[in-house]
Amino acid sequence: MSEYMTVGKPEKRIDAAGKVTGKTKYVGDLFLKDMKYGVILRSAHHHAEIKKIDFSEAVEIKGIVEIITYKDIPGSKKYGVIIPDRPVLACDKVRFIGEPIAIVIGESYDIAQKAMKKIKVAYKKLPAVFDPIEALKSNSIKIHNNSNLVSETNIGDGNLEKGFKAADNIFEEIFHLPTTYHAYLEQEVAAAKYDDGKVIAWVSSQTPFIDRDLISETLNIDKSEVDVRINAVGGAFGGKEDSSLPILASLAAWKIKGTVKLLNTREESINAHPKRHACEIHCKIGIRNNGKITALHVKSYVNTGPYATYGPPVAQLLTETISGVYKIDNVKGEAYLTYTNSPIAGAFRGFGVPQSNFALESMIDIMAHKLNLEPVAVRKINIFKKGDSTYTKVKVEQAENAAKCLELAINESDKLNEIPVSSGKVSGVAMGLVLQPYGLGKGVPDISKNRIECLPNGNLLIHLGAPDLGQGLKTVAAQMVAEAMEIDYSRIQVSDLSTRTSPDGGITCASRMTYCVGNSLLRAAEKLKNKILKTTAKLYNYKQDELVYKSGKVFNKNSENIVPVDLYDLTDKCNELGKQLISEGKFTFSYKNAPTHLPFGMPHVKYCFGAVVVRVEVDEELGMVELKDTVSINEIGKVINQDAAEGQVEGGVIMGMGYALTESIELKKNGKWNDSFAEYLIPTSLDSHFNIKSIFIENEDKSGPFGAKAIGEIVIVPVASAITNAIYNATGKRFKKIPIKPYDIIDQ
Amino acid sequence: MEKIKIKIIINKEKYLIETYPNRTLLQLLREDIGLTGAKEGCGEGECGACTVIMNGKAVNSCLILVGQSDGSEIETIESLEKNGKLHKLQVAFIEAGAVQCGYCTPGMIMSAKALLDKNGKPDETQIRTAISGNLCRCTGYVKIAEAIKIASERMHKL
Repeated sequence: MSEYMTVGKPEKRIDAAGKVTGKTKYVGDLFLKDMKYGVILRSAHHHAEIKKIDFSEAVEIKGIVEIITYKDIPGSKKYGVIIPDRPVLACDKVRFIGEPIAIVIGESYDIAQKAMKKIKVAYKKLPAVFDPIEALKSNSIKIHNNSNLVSETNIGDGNLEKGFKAADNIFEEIFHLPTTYHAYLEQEVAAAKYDDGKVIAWVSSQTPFIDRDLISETLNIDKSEVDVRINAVGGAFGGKEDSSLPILASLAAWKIKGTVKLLNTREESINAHPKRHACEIHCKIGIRNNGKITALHVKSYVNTGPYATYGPPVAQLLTETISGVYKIDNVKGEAYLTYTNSPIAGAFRGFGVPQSNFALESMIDIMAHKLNLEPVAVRKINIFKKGDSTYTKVKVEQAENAAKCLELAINESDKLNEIPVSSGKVSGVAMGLVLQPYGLGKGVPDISKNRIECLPNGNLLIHLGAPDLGQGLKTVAAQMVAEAMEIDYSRIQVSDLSTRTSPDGGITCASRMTYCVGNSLLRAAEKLKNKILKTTAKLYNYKQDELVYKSGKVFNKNSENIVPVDLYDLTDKCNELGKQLISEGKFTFSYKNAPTHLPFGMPHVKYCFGAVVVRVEVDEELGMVELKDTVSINEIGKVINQDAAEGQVEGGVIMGMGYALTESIELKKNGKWNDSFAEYLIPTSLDSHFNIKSIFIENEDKSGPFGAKAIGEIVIVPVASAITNAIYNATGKRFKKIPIKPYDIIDQ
Repeated sequence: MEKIKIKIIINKEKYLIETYPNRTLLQLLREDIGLTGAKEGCGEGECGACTVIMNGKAVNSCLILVGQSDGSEIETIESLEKNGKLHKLQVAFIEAGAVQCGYCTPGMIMSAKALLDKNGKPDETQIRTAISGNLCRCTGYVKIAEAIKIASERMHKL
């Protein structure tokens, strides 16, 4: 039995009632007073000079309010968290299909759209480059004025030459990973209001404080004059670390001195939003006949599209994780992040790890089969043992848990191997293992601040400083506060976010929220309890050291006869005196013992381990691959909410299946990208009709809140490699490029 | 463009509406009536976030022009909660952990309701078929299918 009251229990999601009744307001559901509607004129070409824009017919449309171009921007005309290379609105050149050129505002959405269609842009089309390796060649067209190389990562450990010499075999393979789209269901919308020098922006974002800063820079107004507000976010998966729409909506409101709502159609969202980085990974491994890996050399060519966004740290994390859960002595990881005219790429669940994982976990099986070894034997001989370090020289905490995942995965594989195959099909069982870091990396401010306030009704209000994207952050925060303050979960409320009134909880990303927000709230709870004791002592004339806090009440240690002071009464009394019982907790992710030899942002120092085992059935004639069973094993520390954790696994497995089998942004015959749900296929309920079993290894992490680690990203990572390995076991066909589509199976 | 007049029953209330014929039922519900429970996810009938029940059938309201809805009876997510009491489907969605970001939830529940109104004891395949036009990116559908199963069992008992 758990010693906890609410932590670890499948508490009902704190925001579920509003969502099942349709009462929850997403940004698109806001209809504000005197609100105008904006649409964005976007580039029709991959790469072109803008020679002239003719607005003459557009401005004649009845009901048109304003057309805004780069000339109207009072502050910074470019932005970018890592590299400020991205125009807010295109000036003389467009570099990808969907790049924003102008904002058209009308009395209604229809009017704005009608006017936008009347704008005539004279382009001079330029040649475009889509392949990251082509783009690096000296004769390639240049996306910006300089080289197309955005950033280079080059890290290593040991002696590569020696490592390859010690190998009995050297294997080399090239892997291709697609550009993929987050496909959260929420329509992309941002609304903003300008009033008396101040801007309020209602957004759906993972990064409200970054949005605020970028809006302030674009409008050249003080940060304190910008209030970014978030209520509900309809899914994000990394895709809402993009500030384009919040900035454009704020610019529009500022320009018309009024209120504007900007909407992206699904087509615009698919074209214009940063996606998962496509890449080509060159993998060379030296291995002994017994399966021991002696050297690993990985070169990754990472396609970030025409603007960097989060590309540099994605390429870094991809490189950091090339050796996965294995102890390899001689390793070199190189990554070349390249500008192209492909869709812009940024953060997406896993942040580079799904790419590196696909290469490594495919390689393990490829090598094993060539050496006539069992893939699990190769995994066993190389996997981390207690005390092992990564090639980035980070001593891996609880490294032995990786082997635990493998052991469980072997057990589960044995069970799945016994299931008889359906008639007319062939089946295969295989696995992929994963090492997923959490946290932002050394050098990057990795802080979370959150507050707890006592309410007059005796409830506690969490001022959460980071948005819940739908994964359940509000819920686990409420559970952790309930536990820490020893009061019922039903007495916890969570406030909406406003950058003006909320503390800065940090970006909701990098699987860091349960850990960082949780730790911050535990600190806040300790401070609050202390404040409660101090205040009780003062208001009721006790000595503080004779008081003790327990379950929402303050007791006198010395006498059982003294009636305890209830939080209700105490807060009431404070209110009468005009005092607030509120405390803030600040948590800073520790990189204290991290190695210092790597460039900024590296290494990551805390990890989760996992394994996915899948059984697939393949109809070789039709080329159809069906997932039949999946077991997802995740070593994630203490599970705070069982249902929410399972929900992450199930959603992650299905997203991983999409990555492996259907999802890819590709050029169509007409030269445009596929840009609808009819052309970009995410799994439906029927595609997902198979068993998904979740196993959690809850080895508690001492530094985590209640021993919790992280879950958001690890769940998607090894799915594609496991499926690919299982397809090989079923058919003998090896795929080094995903997604694996029916004609790929038929053709090989 | 000339406005047209339509008669429509929405959540048991009668409406006489004058509006432009190029507007969709989804726009009518969200912008004219103020019922924002049905969501727009794609505007082209591919995601199901806008699902409402029209004359007993689950439809993508973004694909229904207002003229097509003339004389029809519409049920939206807002009609399910009665006197502060949630519908059994809504309760089951909460209990089964079937809600994450919640954006697909209203459409998902309406597709499920249209199914259960006709078939009180659906099997897993029938459930998954009924929601196969409703995309969800967060949950992997497992707990959604479970929730519909739980609700059908509870409704069947009565």
